[in-house]
Amino acid sequence: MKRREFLRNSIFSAGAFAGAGLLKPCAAEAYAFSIVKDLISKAQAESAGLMGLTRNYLAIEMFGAPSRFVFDQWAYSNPGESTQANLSEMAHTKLAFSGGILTGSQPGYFQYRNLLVPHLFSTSVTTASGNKPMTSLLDNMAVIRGYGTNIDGHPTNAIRQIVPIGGLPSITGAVADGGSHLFSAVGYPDRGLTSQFISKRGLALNALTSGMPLRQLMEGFGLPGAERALARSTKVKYQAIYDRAMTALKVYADSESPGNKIVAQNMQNAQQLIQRGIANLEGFWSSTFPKYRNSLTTSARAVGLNGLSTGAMLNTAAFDRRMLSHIGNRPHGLPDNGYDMRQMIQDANIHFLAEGFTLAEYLIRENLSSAIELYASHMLGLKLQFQGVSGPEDVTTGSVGYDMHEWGSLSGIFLASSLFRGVGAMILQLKETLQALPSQNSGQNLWDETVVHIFGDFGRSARANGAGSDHGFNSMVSSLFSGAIKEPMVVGNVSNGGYSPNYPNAQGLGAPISGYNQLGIPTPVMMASTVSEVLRLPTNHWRNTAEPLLVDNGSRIVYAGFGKGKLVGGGTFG
Amino acid sequence: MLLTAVGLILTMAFNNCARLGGFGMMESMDLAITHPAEAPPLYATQVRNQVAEKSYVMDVMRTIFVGPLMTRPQVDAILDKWVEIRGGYWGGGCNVYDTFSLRACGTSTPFSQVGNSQVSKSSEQVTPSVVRESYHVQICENLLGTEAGLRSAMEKIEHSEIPTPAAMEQIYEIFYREETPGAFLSVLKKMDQDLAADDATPDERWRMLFLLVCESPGWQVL
Repeated sequence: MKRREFLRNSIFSAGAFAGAGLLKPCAAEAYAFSIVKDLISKAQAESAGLMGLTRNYLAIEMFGAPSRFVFDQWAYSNPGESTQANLSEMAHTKLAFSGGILTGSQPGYFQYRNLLVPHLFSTSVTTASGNKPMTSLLDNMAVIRGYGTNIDGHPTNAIRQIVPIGGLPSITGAVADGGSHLFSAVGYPDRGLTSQFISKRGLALNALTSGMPLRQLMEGFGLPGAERALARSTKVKYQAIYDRAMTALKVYADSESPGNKIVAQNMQNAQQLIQRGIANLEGFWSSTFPKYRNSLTTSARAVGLNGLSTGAMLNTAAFDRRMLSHIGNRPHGLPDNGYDMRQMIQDANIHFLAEGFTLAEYLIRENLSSAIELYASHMLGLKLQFQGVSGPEDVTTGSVGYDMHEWGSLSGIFLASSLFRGVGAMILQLKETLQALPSQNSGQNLWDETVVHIFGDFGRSARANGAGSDHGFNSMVSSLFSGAIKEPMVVGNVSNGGYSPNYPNAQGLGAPISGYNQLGIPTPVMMASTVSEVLRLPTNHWRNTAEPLLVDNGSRIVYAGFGKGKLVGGGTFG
Repeated sequence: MLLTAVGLILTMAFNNCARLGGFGMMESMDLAITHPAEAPPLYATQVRNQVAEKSYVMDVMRTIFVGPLMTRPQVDAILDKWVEIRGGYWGGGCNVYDTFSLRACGTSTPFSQVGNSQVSKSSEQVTPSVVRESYHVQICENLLGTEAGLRSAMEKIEHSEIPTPAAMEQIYEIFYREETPGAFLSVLKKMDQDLAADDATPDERWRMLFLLVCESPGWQVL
């Protein structure tokens, strides 16, 4: 079959390209098209103020929905609300010790700048430059809370945050659509059932799976295997002759059609990148990955922290709330009474998130991609000593590590604090690095031009007996971190009540916002619309459905007309 | 003043194609509409940069490289690595009759099945990109990176010990599917002359000719 016939059959007959199918421009017209296209697109972008404005987006999905009362599921937030709040014990953020032994918990909120924030932020974590107060994270943090879907399910709720409205792009897809980077979008590692990248421009997500994702991403610019090296070596041997021929072909291609011109330019750029090679990747990886891994493990495994791990955590009957619940036919028994549960995090890690941060740093600093998806899930390597068992067993699987139904309020405070201290340390490490690098787009530093977004499947709900948590699909929460955010911020209202008689009291359950264009508890579209504004996307696809609660005023992120989020009186059973 | 001049030049460019009639590319068209003026107006912002999707690219490569010296599985192993599992950069959406268990259709775990790229399931088109062209280079270098690959491609043309203009024309035609090389041929001749002057061996000259045509962007541009 002839080339043109093949192409017409495969593409034109599907009606996918009607305009060009009817018309192939002659040389002069093609050249005119290319000039006009450039002029018009540039003029449109300039007139709308959209030239290179989209911020880098680092979206971290924490699948399994770890409990985050200690981190960003704030059950109240404004000074004065602590006295109004009828707070669930499960939403406590600080542990109490007496005589060197854990005895219970306390709300643990303290005032930082203009907000009440969880106890975790009074601690310090470790980065490559030493100890850093977690308040440094708060200085660039905005919490988006109080939204929900009213429907249960892990993947469905994650997807509703990734693609808030069917038929519109995913948030990462919208960022890719708004940029023009070498790699339109990058994801690492596999997001499994929640992997949903949708670009309106038909752009691709580079889905990376290997332990060294950067090398996998850049593989196209690398060397062929030694057994297939003859073409490359011949080309290198006669590189000058080859380059002269390619240049002559490019001139020929330029005269043929706008499409040819662009593809030829792409080819020239690809050849240049291939000649530059990817030899520097190993050096970058070996020096940068340990920076994030050490920040993570040192911070997550720290003990002796005030209000979190100052004394032994024993599974005794000294208090009436469980350290670790034992539900139904779950495989594990109760923890051994003599076992100090602080030990359980000593092998804990989420190394693939450290790899992800390393990848993200490279992509952002080299301006290779502005749409990056990471997948964090839960901590691996958690171990527990159970009654009647000879040694500590891995409890990463099941409801202890993943989907924390069995995290009682006491062990939950400890484990979630460890997890989010590790995550926080890596964000601070990234902040340190990006603050020192100028942005090519705006004249700001790269931290001001980057937004880290942490979200899970949903928030957690709190059982009244302290035996664990459930799926908080109406207490969803996201948090954003960016140099463009200049103070601790919180949007979205939460209720002073809970879900039902078994889940009473304040725990971050979403509540309506007066005057908002979504009635009842806002949906994840509210979150997407707000994130879109912080990202400075050329188009906020979700604005008509849900107004943004944060906006960029040109120099910083500020509250939109609805102001700060607040605690509102009595929910369903408040 | 400048705007007026640009407008005048562009207007002339859009309206004077008839005087350029006789270009090879116009003669090769067999569509009912033979002049842009007869077509519905297409605004400049509607011009799309369209490149062939993956099935066409793989078909070209299989036609050229599969033979007694290089089997279909050997060629497909390379195409699988650089085209199939990076389908997001090549377009063509998903084919439910794909031999690889619907992996391009996202019916199973997308990352582990599709490998290195994910794209909207409905996407038949794809935007040209530098990354795609890097994969394009890898395909050519890997297929021509062995003796078997070069010999297998040479079997598809009439060849003697050293390249001839007629052979160069055939190399062009197997990639560009029976289009005539035009000015392209002079580029090939010049490169071969330069290689000969630089004491390149016959195999090196053949390999460079195949490589240049294979890596030239035009054969995949619609």
